[in-house]
Amino acid sequence: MFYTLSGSLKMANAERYAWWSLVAWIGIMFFLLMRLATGVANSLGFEIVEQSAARLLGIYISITIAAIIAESVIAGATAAYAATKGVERDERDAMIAQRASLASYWFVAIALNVIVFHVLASATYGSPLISGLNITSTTGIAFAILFVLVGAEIVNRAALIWNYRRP
Amino acid sequence: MTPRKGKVGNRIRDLRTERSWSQGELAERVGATRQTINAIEQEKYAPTLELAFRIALAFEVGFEDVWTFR
Repeated sequence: MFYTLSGSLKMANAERYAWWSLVAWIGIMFFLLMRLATGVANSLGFEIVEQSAARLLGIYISITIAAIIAESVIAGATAAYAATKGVERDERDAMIAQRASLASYWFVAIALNVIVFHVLASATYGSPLISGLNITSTTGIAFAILFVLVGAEIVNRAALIWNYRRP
Repeated sequence: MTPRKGKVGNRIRDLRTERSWSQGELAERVGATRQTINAIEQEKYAPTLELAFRIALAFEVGFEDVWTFR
């Protein structure tokens, strides 16, 4: 989907926020994959590379700070722009936000079930079901949880955009 | 008895054109965004009862002069 400049200026404020936020969260996901896994260029980034606890803590803090800064800047900038354009948010925006929250809820529910099944089945049969995805170590647990959290934000923003754009 | 399925329609574009109001102007009068008014006009979004009444009040017409169910 491509938009002209005039087209993007006609977007709802919440949709404009969702586009920029989606870009930011995809960036954070890439950062996570590069730091804790082999990276998107290899094995789809799902082969976990074991890290020291101190390094894991550093990565976690970096991701948290990046997310806070990105969300604050994007929310602030889109709100400032909307302040010049009348009503910022209305009932349709709230309804779409609710639908997007439901989509991210289902993502989290499914992802957690997949992780639990993977861990239990791997323990039962002795080796990880998905090669390289050993989420029983500290690095693996941190990766799995952060992947689900960041993934849920991406799903939420994508669902927001889909609901604004669907025919 | 199963209620019949239908679609909420409206005459917002006609009423707006008669008054030479832009979508933004109507949006401001009813406290919605211009994008929401556009979605309602294109029948992509059915507003809540409250917004539907506010739109009818803004045009100073009856509810049924704006909204249809077919």
